[in-house]
Order: sequence, then structure tokens, then C-alpha cells
Amino acid sequence: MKKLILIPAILGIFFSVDEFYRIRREKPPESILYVPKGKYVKVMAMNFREIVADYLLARALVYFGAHFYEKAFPYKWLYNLFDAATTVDPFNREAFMMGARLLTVRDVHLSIKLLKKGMKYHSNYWKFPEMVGFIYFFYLKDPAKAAIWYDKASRLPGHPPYVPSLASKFYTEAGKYRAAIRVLYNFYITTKDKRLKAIFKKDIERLQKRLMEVER
Amino acid sequence: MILEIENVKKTYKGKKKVEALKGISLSLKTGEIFGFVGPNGAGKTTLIKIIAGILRPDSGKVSIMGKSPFSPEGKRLRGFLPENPQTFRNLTGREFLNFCANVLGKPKETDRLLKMVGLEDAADRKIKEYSKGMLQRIMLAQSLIGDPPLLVYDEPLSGLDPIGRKEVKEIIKELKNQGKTVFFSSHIIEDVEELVDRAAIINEGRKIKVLELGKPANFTVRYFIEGKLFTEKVNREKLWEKIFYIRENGEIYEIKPTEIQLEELLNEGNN
Amino acid sequence: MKETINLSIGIFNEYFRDKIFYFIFSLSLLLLLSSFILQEMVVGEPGKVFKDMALNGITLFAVAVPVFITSQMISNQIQRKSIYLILSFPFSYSSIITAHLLAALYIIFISIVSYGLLAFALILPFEVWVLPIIIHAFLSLFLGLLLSSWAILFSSVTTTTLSALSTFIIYMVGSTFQTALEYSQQSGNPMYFVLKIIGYIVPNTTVFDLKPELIYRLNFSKSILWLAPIYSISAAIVLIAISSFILSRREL
Repeated sequence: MKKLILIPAILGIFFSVDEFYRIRREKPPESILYVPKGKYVKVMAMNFREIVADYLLARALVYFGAHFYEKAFPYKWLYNLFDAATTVDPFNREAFMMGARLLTVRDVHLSIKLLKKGMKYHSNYWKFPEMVGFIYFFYLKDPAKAAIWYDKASRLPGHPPYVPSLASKFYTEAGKYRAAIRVLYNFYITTKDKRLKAIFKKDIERLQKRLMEVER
Repeated sequence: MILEIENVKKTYKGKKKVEALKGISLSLKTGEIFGFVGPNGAGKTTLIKIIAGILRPDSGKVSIMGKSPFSPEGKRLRGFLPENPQTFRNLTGREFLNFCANVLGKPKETDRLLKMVGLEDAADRKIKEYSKGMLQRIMLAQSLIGDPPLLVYDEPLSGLDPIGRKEVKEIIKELKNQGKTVFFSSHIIEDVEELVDRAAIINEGRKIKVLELGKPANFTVRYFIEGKLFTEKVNREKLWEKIFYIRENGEIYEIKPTEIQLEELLNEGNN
Repeated sequence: MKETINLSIGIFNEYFRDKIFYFIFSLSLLLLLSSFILQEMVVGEPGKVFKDMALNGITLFAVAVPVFITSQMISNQIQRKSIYLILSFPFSYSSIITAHLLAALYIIFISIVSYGLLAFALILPFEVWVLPIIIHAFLSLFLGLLLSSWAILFSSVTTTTLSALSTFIIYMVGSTFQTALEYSQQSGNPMYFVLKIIGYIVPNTTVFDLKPELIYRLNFSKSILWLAPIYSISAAIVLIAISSFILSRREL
């Protein structure tokens, strides 16, 4: 009697395993296993903040790349990952820049949010306000705000000549000629490059003429 | 006969083959205490396990009141106490006996059994807190559940202190008074001498001898004939003949059984 | 059958009071309570951490009890020689094995139910999340039965430590089996057919794991709910038979 039970049991195994092979399971949506809050990770990382931040950055990049070819992938957790990485190690400038660039596929406002956070730690770094300005100009089509941010960038050390030049251009587009002239003039008096001085002098004179025409 | 063992053989097939039993035959009468004596490694535990239905022999036959010890009916006819018994340590004594009764489908006689083995006060303590003697006694109690006619005990006095040994011996004597048949093994000769009606000597898997210890085989007779004292060893068969002779010719001074020769027999078996 | 159940209740009482069980239960409670800390520490949907911990805690019982408790049932008794008492009872070997398996199942059931109720209470502030817990508990019970059957088999053959390790290895293999199968199928590797055959022997434990579907509310084939029990019970019967055969041949 007991041995007879074995036969249906063995058949039961074969039957159920065959059915398991046939079943197709839906893939779950993006499931990132716990995006940690940066402030807690920072404490737990102790003296290994840089390497932990690097790990979080790597996770963010892998997360981004893994879904890059999926149409309209929401990237729900991308900002959180970069936020966590930059909280743990806020001195890594590239993390802010990388995050801001990649977040433009999700939401440019999140890019701006991340860059503003970066500016708290890197108040002298011109690239952050420059990038914000670029986002306002290119994505948000707002030359007035773009001009303000390029202007800020132009007051920080180390910026290239195109920064005040673009600031001036965007101010002009926004109709703010005095501001445009001021930006160019600040660069003119501070630069030691004679060639650039000559170029900027011409631009200043051109704008002054334009201003006089507008005020008449 | 309550237990019959016919030419049982058992060889352990490990890395090195060990012939534990080389053809043992025994039979037990109802109501007797039967001792099974031998040195360590003689095959006592192997035979006990076969009787208990735990180990199958390679050949031979064992029957308990006509039933195989491996059948459920056969197992219900005997109670078993293994050597150095261990059991469920997280149960209390009472729970353990109730559990055994439930498993065997027998009525619960927990209080009576606890009283019999002297564990009423420790009944609600976990078995892991029991001393060796208490553990032995609770396992003895478990062997009595269902009132089996045959009790099979492997070294029931092993490892006990003198008080523990005395207590267990009293229980075994009480069981005999209740008409139980007890088959137990031991390597302590004094215990066997004190308790059993008959004993079998075993060594290297063979039965050497079966002795009726309740009835002495030999007597030492001291008597006077014409004022002289004589001392003579007489076996049981010739005893009455001797007594009549002495009464006709002299006067009996003393008749007593000769000291039990178990130890001699054991040594004889060893040789 | 009644006596087998009585035997299983005695074995259950013995192991339910074991320190190792309390350790597993404490660990799972810690896991559940850590949800509060983890919820604060991570970014995500509110309550998701609790849901994850709830279902993972249930799985913990289904795995930990076979690995740490069931795997030592027979082997421990053989080592301590307390098996002689059980063998002396008027039971067949298959009844003895079945009783041990039932005892393990009671432990898993009680643990899962208690834990499930606690988890439900913790998730209640976020949402009423009953059915997923019930479904996962149901499947985990059968996962526990399957793993316990393997644990008993190993326990009948080898020592306590090795049987625990072997049970864990079986679980690990079962968890990765589906992935290996899918990869070999996608890459067109001939190993796919070998793996398919192995799948009839090695337990595929992923079929008992519907956590992603339950947490993310995905559709899943309802047939898993009756196939998994059939598979688990059938495998248990076969493993009981093998364990009984092995135990009866051992010279204890």
C-alpha cells in the first residue's frame, strides 16, 4: 500500500515540474534594492566615505545604463542615488556634474537641484552655475534666467571667456543691455589678454550704441 | 516460553567485519528475571537490540510470545530500556510519560508509574535537569507503559551511584513480584547474582552457559561422623542422597550453597 | 495515523522549546523591527520596506527551520542515541520519518502564522495588506515542507553539521536554478537540456517565491498556487521513502 503511493508522487513531481517550465513570469519593474539616504550612509561609512560614494556612483551609472535603451524609462531613483553619493562625499565635483548631465533625461529641475546643492560645497567652482545656465537656456528656453546664471559663473575664478560672452548674449536677448555691458566690462578690466580685451571692447561699444538707440 | 531466540547470528559490515553474534539460542520462561552477562564487546547489546526490534539479525529467529519483535504487535509485548538512555530533554517527566502513552495508544498511568519509580516530586521538571539515576528511572517508567509482559533492559544499572543502583534493583524486584519477565544485560556480576533467576554467560558472540542461580548447583556439606568433622562439596542431584547417608551415620553440622561460580565461568569463557 | 500524529506532537514539543528555535524567532523579530530603522534610512515608497521585511521574514522561517532544526532531528538523535527509544516504538520507519517531518511542519506553520500576524499589524498604518501575506505564507509553508524533506533525508544519512550544510546548499542551488535555466536557454547552450533533466531532481525553490509579484502587484499564474503544493507533497513522499529505506538499512 505504502509503495503504491510512490508512483503518483513521482508522477506528481514530473507533472508539476513540467508545468513550472511552462509558466512565464512577468519581470518586476525597476527594483533598486534600497536607495539609502545619504546622511545615514555618511555616518556609517566612517573613514571610507570616498569609496562608499564611489560605489553609490557606480550603482547610479549602472542603473542609468541598464535601462538606457528602454523607451521612456522613468528613472525613478536616479536623483536619489546621486543625492546619496554626493551627500556621502560632497567634495567630489564630478559626481555633481555627472549627475546633473544624466538627470536631464529624467527631469532637468532635478539637475538644477543637484547643482545648487553642489554650489553649497563648491561656491568658487564656475562650472556649476554655468551648467545651470546652460540648462535654462537649452532645455527650459529661458534666456533671462540663463543670463543670470552665466553672470554668476563669470564672477568666479577660472572661467573661460565664453562664459561672460554668453551671459552678455543672453542678457541682450532678454533686453537687459546694461547688464550685458556690465558683464563684458567686468571681464574687460580683469583680463590681461590684449586680444580678448580688443574683442570685448568692440562688443561693449556695440552694445552701448544699441543701448543708446533703445533709450532714445 | 515468552521469549525464544534461535541460532541468531549478526555480523556488522563496516570497514572491518565484526561477528557480534555467532549463533545464540535462548528461551525465557514467563515471570523470571534472566540475566545476560559478559564482558564489553561480548554481543550483549547487539542481542538486546535484536530483541527490541531495532536491529535485524543476519539469520536466526526471535519471537516474543510467537510474534516477531520487528512487528508492531511484537513491539507492544515488550518494554525496552536502552543502555545509557537519552530522550527528549525539553519535556518534563510527566509530559514524556504522557507522550509515550499517547504514542503507544495506551491509557495514561503517569501518576502510578511516577510513584513506582519514585519521581513524583520531579515530574514537572524538564528531563535535561534530571540526574543519571533519575533519567534511568524515568526511562524505566516508560518501559512499563501499556503493561508489557516482557521487559528488555540493556545495562540498567550502568553508571549509577550506589543509591541509584539500589533503587533500580528494588524496582526490578518489584516487577518480578508483579509477574513481569525481565531480560537484562550487565557486565557487573554481583548485580546479576542478586537479581536473576537464571543467567546466560556470553563471550565473543557465543553463549557459554546458562545457569539457574536461584537454585544453587553445588552445596558445601559439613558433618560429624564418629566425632570427626568432614567438609564436602556435593552437587544438587546428589544432595539428598548425602543427607540420608549422614543422618544414618552421623550428624549434619551445616549445609550451605557453594559461592556462585559466575565469575569463574566468565573467566572460563574468556579463556 | 493517530499514533504518528501523537509522535509528531511529542517531537514538536521537544524542538519547539529548543534554543535554536528561539534564536531564529528572535532574528526574524529583529528583522521586522529593523523595518522601522530601514524605512527611515532609505528612500522609497512608504511601507515598501515593511512589506519586504514581512515577506522575507516569512521566507526566513521556511528556510532556517529546515536548515537549523529539521536537519538535526534524526542525526542528533542518532548521535545521542535517543533514537533507540523512537525505534523501539511500534512504528514503521516511514511513520517515524513522517512524524519528524510533521513536527517540522508544525514549527514552520506556527512561526509563519505568528510572524505574519505581526507583519500585518505593522503594515496596517500604510495599507491593508492581507492577501499577499497569506499567499506568501501559504507558498512558504510548502517551501518549508520541501526543504524539511531534504533535511530529513540528509539527517538520516550524515552528521548534524553536514546535513545542515547540505540542506542549505540544496536551497542555494534551488534559488539559482531558474536563473541558470533561463541563461542557458537564452544563450542556446546545450546545458539547457541537461538542466531541465536535473530540474526533476533538484528543487526549484523560486516557484515558491512570488515576492516581486506580490509587492509590485504584478500578474502571476494562479496555477502556481496548486502546482507548488502538489510538487512539494509529491517530493516529500518520495524523500520520506528514500529516508526510511536508508534509515532501515543503517546499523544503529
